[in-house]
Amino acid sequence: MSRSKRRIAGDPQGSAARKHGADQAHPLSSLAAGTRGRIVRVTRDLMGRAERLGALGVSAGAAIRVLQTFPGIVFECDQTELAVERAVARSILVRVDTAAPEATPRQEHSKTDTQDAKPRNLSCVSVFRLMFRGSCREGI
Amino acid sequence: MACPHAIPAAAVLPVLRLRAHPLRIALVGNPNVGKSVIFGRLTGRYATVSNYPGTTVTVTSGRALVGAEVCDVIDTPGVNALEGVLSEDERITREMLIDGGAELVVQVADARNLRRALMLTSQLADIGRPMILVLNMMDEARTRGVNIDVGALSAELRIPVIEAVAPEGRGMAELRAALPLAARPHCAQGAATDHLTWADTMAARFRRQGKVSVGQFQEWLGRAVREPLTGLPILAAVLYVTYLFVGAFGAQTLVGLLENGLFGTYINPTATSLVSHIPAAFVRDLLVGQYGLITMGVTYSIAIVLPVVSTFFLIFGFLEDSGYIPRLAIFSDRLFRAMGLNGKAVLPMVLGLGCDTMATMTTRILGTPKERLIAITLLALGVPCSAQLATIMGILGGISVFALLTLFAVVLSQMVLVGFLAARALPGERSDFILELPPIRLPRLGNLLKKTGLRVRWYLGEAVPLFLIGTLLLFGLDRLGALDWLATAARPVVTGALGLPPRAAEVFVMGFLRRDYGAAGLFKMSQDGMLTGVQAVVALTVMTLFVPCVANLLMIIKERGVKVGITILTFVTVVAVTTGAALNLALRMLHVTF
Repeated sequence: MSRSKRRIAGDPQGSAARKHGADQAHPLSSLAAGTRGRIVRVTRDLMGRAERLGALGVSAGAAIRVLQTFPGIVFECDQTELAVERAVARSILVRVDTAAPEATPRQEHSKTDTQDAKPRNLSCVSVFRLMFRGSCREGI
Repeated sequence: MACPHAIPAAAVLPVLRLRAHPLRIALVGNPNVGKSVIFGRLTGRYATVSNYPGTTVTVTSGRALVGAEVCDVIDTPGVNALEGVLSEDERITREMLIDGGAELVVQVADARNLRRALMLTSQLADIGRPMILVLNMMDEARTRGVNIDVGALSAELRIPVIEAVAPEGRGMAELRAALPLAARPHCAQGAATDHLTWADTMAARFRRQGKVSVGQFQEWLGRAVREPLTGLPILAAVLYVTYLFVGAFGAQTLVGLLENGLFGTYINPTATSLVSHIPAAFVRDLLVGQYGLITMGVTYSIAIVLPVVSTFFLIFGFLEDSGYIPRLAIFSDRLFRAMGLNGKAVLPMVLGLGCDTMATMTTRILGTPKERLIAITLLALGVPCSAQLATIMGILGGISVFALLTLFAVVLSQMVLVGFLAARALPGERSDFILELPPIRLPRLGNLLKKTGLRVRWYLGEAVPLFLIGTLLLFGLDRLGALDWLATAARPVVTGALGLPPRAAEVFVMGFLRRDYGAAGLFKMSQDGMLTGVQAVVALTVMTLFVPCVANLLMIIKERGVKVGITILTFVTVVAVTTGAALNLALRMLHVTF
């Protein structure tokens, strides 16, 4: 597990990166399993979601690895394995680590944040996931 | 008259300093880091240890000897934060720290998660008690390549930092030795930096990430149980193995051995022959009659329920310690969201299968009052506890698997329906689904046996007296002729709507005390051939939907107040009888025979 030592300073750079488009911050909900990256920021809301996540170590600068995307999103953040619902994952913005071999940012053309399966990763799980694509989006 | 040699009190230190109470040491830390293990190591008392966040939801205390000093060690529910938005168990810990009189804090940390631990250290520093930091699970941290410069960290924080592997007792002697050196941590954070930034910097300075040598198998298993394609078959297999072990081995083989073997051929005949020497017929009946304390009370609790409860606790403890249960939340999140909860609710629900009373307390890990209310109601309504599961499997296992499935399908659909309606009817919000998954571990046999042993002992201490009281009550009612009266009064419901034999009325009386006791009564009736398959399914469904036991009702009242308690009781009873009547009607109309 080689971790890049590169640090991204919280908010300002994150929004700058989004503007430039090249080194974008993607919502965690849009990343494929196996993707590694660093959290750029966690969107704040009135219910204290960012605070809750922060207490679990999910905050700007933390290294994360996506483990699973269906039925819930499971990711590893700094040695902690967490399961979250899609709405929560959407508020976590990640800069994908392109240095790591399996880190692939998702293709730009998919508009929804449903999973975009990498061709070589098209396993039975992905097929299963595609079958449930409708229910995969924000359900209830 | 003043003594001429009087010395001002402050000038000399008294030889003996007396304290009003022992020094209070609080064990505080993130969830699932091993506070309860350290508590057990320090005090020699066993606090339930499992592998999921939220095992401890109350404050437990015990005495420990440190040097020659007697200390009170306090085990607290795990916290991720002590400030901001807190769940109920976190609030309990915070209150204990602030006005519960904890004089010394031992922060227990998972060495792998130094950053999160330091975030808490920084918040604890604000509370301002002298403290020690224990880095537990050093062995797991090493295999995951985490190296911590403990000396430098200790020097920076200016508090003792101890490395430990608590289940093996490593670091415990060092912890005891370090207790007198506890100090207020030095967290150089001004207004500019917050807890998070400080923890980030500290973690980056003192932690090195090296080569990971985590077991391939562990990694693989962790993935297999959470991916739907492999996870769902694994879930089915786990349920099947549980059924084989509890339903077949426990409820059939062991019950048969105990009931017919031990009680049927030895204890009951011996007791009857001994008691026959007693001249008073009243006493004879009280002990060995139809509602005799020995022939009914003891036989039910020891021969019918105990074997199943023990086998269940054993397999349940295994699942708890393996870290499997929280992973079920991933699959069930969507379903629970429809019921106004989130996947986290799988923990109290599954724990309810062990004991609904304990599980009612575990609902504290849920985020909002609305979620707690829904979860408590669902537990009271539908989740059968181990003792009851025992009798259900015992009766229906003997009839057919289809009968068992019908019961579970009806109960489950009732839960979903009630949850669905409650989610819409009750005011309030549900919280986000954010759950930490504990590492998959091979359970330690020692902990497993200890936990099972304690739970069985708890069952004997808690349930057996109630069984005996219930038997006594039935005996009294029978003597007064009230049982016949009750059977007549309940006839419209019991024989009319539910289509059960009149004797079932007395079983429901027992069910009000403990529903497993009622179910045990049904077990007896079905053994005596008094119940048809349909009747057994209907009676058990009603019994399952009842409030579990007096203890659970009291716990609901304690947690949510009398008003809520009575409302839930009434609601649940109405739902139980209505569902039973509807099921009876449906099964008869469809001419189902099991």
